[in-house]
Amino acid sequence: MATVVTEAVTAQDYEQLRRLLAVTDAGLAQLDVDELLAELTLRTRELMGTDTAAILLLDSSGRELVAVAASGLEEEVRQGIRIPVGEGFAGKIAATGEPLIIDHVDHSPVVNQSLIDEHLAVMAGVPITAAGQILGVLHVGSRVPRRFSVGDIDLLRLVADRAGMAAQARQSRLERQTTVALQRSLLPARAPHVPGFDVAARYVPGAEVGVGGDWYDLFVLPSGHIGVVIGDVVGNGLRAAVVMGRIRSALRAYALETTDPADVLTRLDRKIQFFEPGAMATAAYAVIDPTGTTLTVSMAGHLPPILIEADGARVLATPADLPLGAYPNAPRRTTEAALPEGLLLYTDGLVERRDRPLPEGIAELVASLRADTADELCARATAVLHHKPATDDVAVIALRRSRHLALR
Amino acid sequence: MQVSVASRRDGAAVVLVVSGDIDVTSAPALEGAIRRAVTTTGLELVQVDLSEVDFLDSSGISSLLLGRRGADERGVAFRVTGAHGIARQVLELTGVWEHLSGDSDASQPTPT
Repeated sequence: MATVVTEAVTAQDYEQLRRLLAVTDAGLAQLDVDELLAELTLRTRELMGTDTAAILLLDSSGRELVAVAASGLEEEVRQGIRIPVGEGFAGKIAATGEPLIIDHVDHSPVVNQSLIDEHLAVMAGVPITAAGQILGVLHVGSRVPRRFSVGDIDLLRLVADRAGMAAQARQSRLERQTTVALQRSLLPARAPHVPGFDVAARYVPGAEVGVGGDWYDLFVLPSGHIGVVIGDVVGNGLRAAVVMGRIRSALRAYALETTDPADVLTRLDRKIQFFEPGAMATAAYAVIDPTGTTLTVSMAGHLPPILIEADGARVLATPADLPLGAYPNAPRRTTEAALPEGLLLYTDGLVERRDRPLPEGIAELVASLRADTADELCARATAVLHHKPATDDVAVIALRRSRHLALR
Repeated sequence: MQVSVASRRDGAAVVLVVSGDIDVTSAPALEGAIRRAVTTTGLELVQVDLSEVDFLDSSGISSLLLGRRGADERGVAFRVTGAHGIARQVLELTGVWEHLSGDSDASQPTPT
């Protein structure tokens, strides 16, 4: 009996698959994600001859399913029905990641009331997954008793694959937009005004990682000291950007307490070890004294700063201590130097190339830096990238002593 | 870019021979291999041999540092060896080479 059902449906399914593929492929190109999911439920319902079809996706907490598209159960979507993972029919599928068929809806303990209210007799559902991760659930229901065949489940799985791709695109688009918005708010395009200095900064997202955890910051302290920092939080995307935001705020807070860079980074490191376990970041933190002549700097696993001189630039030889978050109570040192015409801090993406020793990359950067303004310094620094697109994101911040411009 | 990690067990020590390029795409594989080695019961030393690694970037450094931290938490000695060329330069310039190549007791860094 079962075999007969399977074979009888298979030939029919072939036609269904063909139609469905055609519909969804065209749809993927033309519809936006929400329209596509709605279209998928409509087509699924028609193709399978069911009374309802619905798509629920996990919310950002990963603990609740939200109805995002439905055909025959539109009210669920309008009401934004939320189902906890593990509860109800859809919740159970999301929890187990396995297809589920219920032959007698009214007697089943795993069905929520709204489905009984719809007078559904039988239901079938499959998880929506992408890259091995459960993103949601697709389910269909019928008011008249029927048997769901292997072919029916295969068809549902196929639709779920399409829905998964769309859901993932929606999720990553949302995350990307959020990350970029967060980055923009934390990395102001216009550098703050600093007495006696011209300031500029650049941020270039990486070709492979997109927006990452690079950041820079610059502030004048009540004492008149100027704090300049650049850093790189390990990882990329929204999580790295969020950690970066917290590290940036914490560094500002510690900068108010002490002007010794090693001391600031030691406190920041302790905070990260305790409150952000698992996070790691490199950073270069420099403090310029109120007279603008002396520079103190502490390096946490970061590449050395570059000093800008009247006729060129040179690397400031500074011993680097361990990155922030790398190891409890790592000792930290401060290096002091006279500040010539300016200072440039950068992240590793600027100088790191697979086909070239790192010191050569730094040397090339140094050789390119001769300029009158901070903005020109940043432009020349990022111009070294033009040889090859950077895979990693890149941040650069430059300070240059203000020149006495002739009155016009 | 691909990285491959061959594991060689020798009594209470395991040597992970890494070859290839370690960057943002391959670092998770290295991190996973180190984590598996460090959490193996009965091990006293995990050595990561980088002599066949041609390139290593900041994500590779963080994989190694996380490995060292995980090893310390379990009382396992952790040592990176054989880094040369670009990989060695990156590890030295960012100030982590001594930490990774030295003795696992942080308070007693081994002079190289």
